[in-house]
Amino acid sequence: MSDLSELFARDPVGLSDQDIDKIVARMREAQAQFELGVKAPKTPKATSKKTVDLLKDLGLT
Amino acid sequence: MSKSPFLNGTRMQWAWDSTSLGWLKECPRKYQYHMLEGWSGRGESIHLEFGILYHEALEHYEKARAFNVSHEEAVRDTISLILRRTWRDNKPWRAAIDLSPEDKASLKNRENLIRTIVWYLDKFKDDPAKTKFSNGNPMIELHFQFEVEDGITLCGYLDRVVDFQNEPFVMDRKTTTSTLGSYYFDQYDPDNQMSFYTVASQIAFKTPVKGVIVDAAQIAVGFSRFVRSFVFKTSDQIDEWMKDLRIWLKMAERFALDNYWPMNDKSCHKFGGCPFREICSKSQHVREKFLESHFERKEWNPLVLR
Repeated sequence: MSDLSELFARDPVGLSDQDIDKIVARMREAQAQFELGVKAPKTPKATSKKTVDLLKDLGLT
Repeated sequence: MSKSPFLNGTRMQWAWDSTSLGWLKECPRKYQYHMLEGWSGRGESIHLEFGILYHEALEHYEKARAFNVSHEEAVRDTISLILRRTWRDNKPWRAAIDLSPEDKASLKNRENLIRTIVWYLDKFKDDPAKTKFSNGNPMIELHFQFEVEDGITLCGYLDRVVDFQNEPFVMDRKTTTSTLGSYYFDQYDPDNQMSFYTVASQIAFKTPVKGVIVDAAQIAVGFSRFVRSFVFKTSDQIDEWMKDLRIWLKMAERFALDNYWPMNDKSCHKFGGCPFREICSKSQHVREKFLESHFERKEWNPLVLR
């Protein structure tokens, strides 16, 4: 069980301020990771062979 | 115990909130099942409960901030509150790990609720929409009730009244698992609830709001996303809505006198489908049995105070 799952599985009455801060910090880490993922530049898709063939057939390559 | 929203011994409603009025406008039969008979789909309450917890969290945070509590302290206090609210019968409410893959509302779980609250509060830490104050109190979760005619009242709650770029607006919070694009926001303009809240703010709080800011949170796998959109209302649009309201109220009275609420079969498939469409598709004499086996009784009373 991860530390976050362990904190979520505990009765919140027994959680200290530090425990709550840990949960908040983990949520912020998840957000930072998500933002990095979203903002990463997309790699251009390779042109499919089918498209290349079609362009060739049309005399456009 | 709360008062009844119906006139004594009748099915004539005198206290209307945007939810019950919305049911009537969508389909009188839907209004009958939800409002008069108190039926509710078994899965429906999850969305309502998730929304209530989310609203409670933001209200708690904003009240703390309005009284100069720091962001970090208000976040900690809010998360602590919601963790306690979602600890039921000695176990977590809707822990992600316990939810069946068949649960259509599985994204609305405890962990995603906490994530959504933290991400929202951080994103709007320095919110450009500033909570307005009235008599020294922040205008958050404001209850309203006012008479429109002949003892008929409109009532409900405004999530928040804000100043945005020196203009007053009602802010209304939504949680959804839908993508927050124009398709999502188009449903709110025109919309009964948005007009209702604009009227309420103008009449009950004498705040000449320009309309409503829809403050939506999308709950998705691995992330939560927030988008705000404006619904502007001009005074002639509000006058028109009030004129229409009086006609709707007359229709409600007529239905109650006839003890019959007709089905609007052009509404059954809107907004992801009416929860009662399977009931209405059955023969009249077996509907009650299907209601009893697939629905539960949960009375909706606009007069219940939060």
